[in-house]
Amino acid sequence: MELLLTLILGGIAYSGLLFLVASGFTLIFGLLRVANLAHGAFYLIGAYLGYDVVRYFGSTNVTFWVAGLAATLGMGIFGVLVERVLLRFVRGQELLEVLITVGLALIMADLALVVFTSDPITFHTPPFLAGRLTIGNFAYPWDHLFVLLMSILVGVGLWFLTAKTRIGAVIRAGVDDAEMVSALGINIKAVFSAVFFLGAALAGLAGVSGALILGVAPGDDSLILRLGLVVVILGGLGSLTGAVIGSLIVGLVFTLGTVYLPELQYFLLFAPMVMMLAVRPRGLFGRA
Amino acid sequence: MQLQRQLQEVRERSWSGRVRLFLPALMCVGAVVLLAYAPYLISNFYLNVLTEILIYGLLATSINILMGYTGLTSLGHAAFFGLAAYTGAFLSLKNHAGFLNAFLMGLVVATLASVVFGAIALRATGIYFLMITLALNMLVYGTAFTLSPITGAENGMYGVERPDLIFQDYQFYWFTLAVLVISFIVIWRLVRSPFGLTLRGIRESESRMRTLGYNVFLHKLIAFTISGFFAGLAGVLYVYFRSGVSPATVDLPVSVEGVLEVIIGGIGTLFGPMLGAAIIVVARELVSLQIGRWPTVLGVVLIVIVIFARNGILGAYQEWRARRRGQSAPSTAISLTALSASEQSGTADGVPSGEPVPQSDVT
Repeated sequence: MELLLTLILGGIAYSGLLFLVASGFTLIFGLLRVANLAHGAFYLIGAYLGYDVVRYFGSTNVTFWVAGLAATLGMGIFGVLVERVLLRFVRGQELLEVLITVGLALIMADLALVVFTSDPITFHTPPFLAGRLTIGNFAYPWDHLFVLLMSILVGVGLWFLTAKTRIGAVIRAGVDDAEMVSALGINIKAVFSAVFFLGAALAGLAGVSGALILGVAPGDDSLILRLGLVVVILGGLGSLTGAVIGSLIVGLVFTLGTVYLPELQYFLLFAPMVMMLAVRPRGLFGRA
Repeated sequence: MQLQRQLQEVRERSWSGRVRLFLPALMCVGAVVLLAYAPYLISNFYLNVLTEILIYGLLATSINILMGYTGLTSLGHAAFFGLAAYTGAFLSLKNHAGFLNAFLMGLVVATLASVVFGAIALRATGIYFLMITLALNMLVYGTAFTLSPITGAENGMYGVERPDLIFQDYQFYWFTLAVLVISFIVIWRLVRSPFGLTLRGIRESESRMRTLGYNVFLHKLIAFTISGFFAGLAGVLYVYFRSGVSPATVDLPVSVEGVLEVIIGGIGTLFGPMLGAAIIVVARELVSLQIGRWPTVLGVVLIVIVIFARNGILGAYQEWRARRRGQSAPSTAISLTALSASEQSGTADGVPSGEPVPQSDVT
């Protein structure tokens, strides 16, 4: 019973990480209708970037925040470059956009292998996140708690941004009718780039968070993309609420599967997907 | 129509016209004869490259059944390729099953999986369909990696032996070629049949076909299953070619290569994917021999092709030939752009490119 509870707590932290990944993916898809399959590669490079900063400056509380910031901003800027340079050729053509991001994902993962080699990396936990929170018999590592809090913060922040601010209103209007929004005198291209920045930055942030609790290894890009896809397919592409629910389902199923049925942990993810798609092909909160 | 019939008659009366009518068939026979003669002309190394081209060409052709003739882009066909390969390897290594059993069971498993995956993925359209096929593919990959008692995890399973009759490389090459020729005849008959025309009708306009009373979902599911069957056929050939499988066989790059081969050759052309496979397989051999880093090269090629050469080689050739003849209908190849556009709306009528649906076959 205690094991189960500990596992569930760990699973929820993992869900938080998945939410960080899926929210960026779903944000970009929601507005730009770009299914960015390089999102997993963005995560991987973000993780390596964060790791490199910590390795270069030494592991202290300050360098940890610097690493997080560097990965987040770095991937955000990279995302804007991708959107402005590569996706410009195929704007609005979903299939072509997807294929370009697939190509990009292959290149990024392969070059990461060259630069960072195939050895798995352990991230140095900053001093303020070392140890664990102990309540009675239960212990919860501080870094897991940190990632969970971060994901809640990001979730609330994204909700606030899209639902309560003027920028959010413009973004939501852009989702419904980009042409009309630009006719109203809003620079829709800048909005597109801003959203791509935000989505890619979230992948970078997720990368550092993932490095913190899991470490980094080659193939993580594909792992994260795999789970992230299931999350957004379950929750519905473009929906934040869907991403929350999807992350919780996938995070818990995957973590429990790792312990109880390690051979079938991926197979276990089929079941919720099949059930969901049979009932609601667009996912839980997806829109037609 | 009238004019076309008259033209046809004129062509049939003249000798040159008759030759021209049979020219494609003659060229096909010539190509097969030349390919069958290959073991006498080239060394074993090149023969194996040729076998690989045939196998990956079959996989690409199976993807083209969906992409070119039904308008559905699947990024998950490595799943069927790999499932068939894993089934074949498992049965012959762990169960000591004979060649025929392992071969047929591989096909059965791939076909069953494609019915299930198709029923799931086809509930969505366009980009959603693509992402669901991709996700399913990645789950199969993950399972191949973790299900160690059956799949041998990271190392896969090796040591599958060919039966005596096709033991030698050249014998296996002939076997592969024979399987391929039969597959192509079947696929050719299929895409020209009323069923194939219905699929193309669905590609052009789903809503119109639905209004005309066609069961669109069922047609798509059958197309998906046929496609999965041929991907599986390529998979079982692969396992006997490589004498085993590893998770890389079901990984995303295999699916991506397949789609890229279709695009390079020309979407919706019968032989285009084969040509694409030849280019990609040769490029992969060269790159792995010379510099390594195939995924990077593959990614760069994919991006460059998508941005600059969307219609592929056979597509461009057919367009050129049609222009020379002064025909208005450009080619049987459909452009990637059109595929993208028609997928986007799902119900868009009258996408300008591609073959128009012949009215007589639709009613």
